[in-house]
Amino acid sequence: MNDANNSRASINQETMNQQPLMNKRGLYVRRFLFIAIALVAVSFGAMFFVMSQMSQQIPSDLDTATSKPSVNSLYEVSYQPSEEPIPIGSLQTWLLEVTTPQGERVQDATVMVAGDMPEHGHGLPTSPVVTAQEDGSYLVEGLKFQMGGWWYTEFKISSPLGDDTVRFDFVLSK
Amino acid sequence: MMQTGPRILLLLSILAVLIVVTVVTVRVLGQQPRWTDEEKAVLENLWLESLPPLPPDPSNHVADDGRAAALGQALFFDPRFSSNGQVACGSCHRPELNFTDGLPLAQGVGSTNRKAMTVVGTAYSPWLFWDGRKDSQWAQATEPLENANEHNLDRSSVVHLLATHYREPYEAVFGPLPDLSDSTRFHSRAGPVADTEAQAAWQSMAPENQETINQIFTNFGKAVAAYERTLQPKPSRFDAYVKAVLGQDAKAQNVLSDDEIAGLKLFIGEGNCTDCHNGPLFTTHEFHNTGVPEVEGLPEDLGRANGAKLVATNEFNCTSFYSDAAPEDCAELRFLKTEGHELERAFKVPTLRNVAKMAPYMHAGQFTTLGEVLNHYNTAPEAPAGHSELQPLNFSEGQLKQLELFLQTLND
Repeated sequence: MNDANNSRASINQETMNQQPLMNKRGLYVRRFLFIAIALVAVSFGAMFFVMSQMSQQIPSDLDTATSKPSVNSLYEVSYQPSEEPIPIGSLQTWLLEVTTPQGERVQDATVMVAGDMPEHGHGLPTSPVVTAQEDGSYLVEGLKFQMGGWWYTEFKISSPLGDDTVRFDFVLSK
Repeated sequence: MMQTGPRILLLLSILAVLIVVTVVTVRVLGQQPRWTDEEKAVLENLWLESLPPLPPDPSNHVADDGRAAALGQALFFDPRFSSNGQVACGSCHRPELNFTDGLPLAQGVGSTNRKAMTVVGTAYSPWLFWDGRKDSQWAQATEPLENANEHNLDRSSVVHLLATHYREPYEAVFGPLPDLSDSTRFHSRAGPVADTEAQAAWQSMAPENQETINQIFTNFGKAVAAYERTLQPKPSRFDAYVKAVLGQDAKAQNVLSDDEIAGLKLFIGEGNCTDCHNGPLFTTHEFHNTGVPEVEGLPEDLGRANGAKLVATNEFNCTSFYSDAAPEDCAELRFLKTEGHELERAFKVPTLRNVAKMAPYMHAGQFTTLGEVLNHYNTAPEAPAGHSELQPLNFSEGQLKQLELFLQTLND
């Protein structure tokens, strides 16, 4: 590129010596070219900007499964929200199912719940309560998500089978 | 070497092609709809017409009684309910300033430590005050009456004033007032207040007499709350714009200027303002630490960290004897969070409807103008206590101005 510029410069140097009028015209042409290229660059820049605005900032490898094994595979856990899509700003109840890996319901567990927005540094705005149901499922009452974005809930499960945790990630639209 | 003429022609041709490409690109971009479907959903969510009907207030059985609202309105603007006869609820909640007072710190009989919040739209909020230490409009309305820097009264005085000046309208709503003439049972000045004489008188009263006073005192609050429930924001230019966008009425979209629209775009986009200022009232009614500076001379203010503990044990909360709600109606209180690092110096997200009428800003009027507020969000300084949730926006001066122009479109 530099070489090309240098050679063009040297040609121009020659023509300037021979034909000063021509060089002046060449200068205009180069100015037009420069402006045109700049315009194209700006319009492409604008296009990329618009495209970048349209993309969502959801972590690419986020696991949003609603049913999964606990960290140490002691339990299989799934949840069902009372409303879908999960609304922002109102109290929610989730139904939690806890089974052994073989699919038997774990009915005598103590379940603790916590939640967090990793990008915001705050947890749930409420203190949800988990109660065991007669049918062996667990009712998680008092969940609230006060803003859209990336959330997770984490359940600590303790039963005679052992202590384990499970985390559910999800993204709420704004 | 090419002849000069053809060379110029070639260059001009290239130039022409480039110009065509540029023009076409710009046209194509220009034809893109201004708002994506996702953005339109956000706009609709902020639209006043998306505001749901008033939620019932089961803790206040006269909440929707028109006679109670009329009584409440009269009480709201009556300065006789103050120690110096000059302070009414309406002194700090002035209708012409969207029910705020234009001051950094509310001024009653004395000077308070916080800015007066608007009462417009508070029927939708589960928590009242900057720290959410009350969970109903009626419980909120009673507290300033006994604050030494606000109305500087005590509940027994309030009850006696009510019986003297409002017996008829009160009894029409709440039933007959008891005989309060026995000053040994119902002291003229008594209440759990800072004034030691009134406090001692209150302590000396029998529980059933305290209960009688409390009942009438909270009815004062319930009447005021019935009036406050009627205070709702009206449509703004922003709402007209959203209506035009959703109705695809291109002409009507001119109700906002290009700069105001650009500000709106920043508000719901890069600014992340809708994280907290969301919904038709532009607030999630929650509490956040945004690193707002302390005010010299004021005591340390931990915000929600204190407010949550106070509402949990408040004598007039949703589960109290004086509430008309059944325990199952008090879900917000049941799931109240009282512990957590994020509560420290977290304050209630205020509504942004009519924000331009509500200067100065923040819980102690730390910022005089909207420009100063936006500068704070742009730089996101460290919080004086706890942890600020803000990230610097790094917007240009021009962008900040556009945001400010947009905020002014929220006036009704």
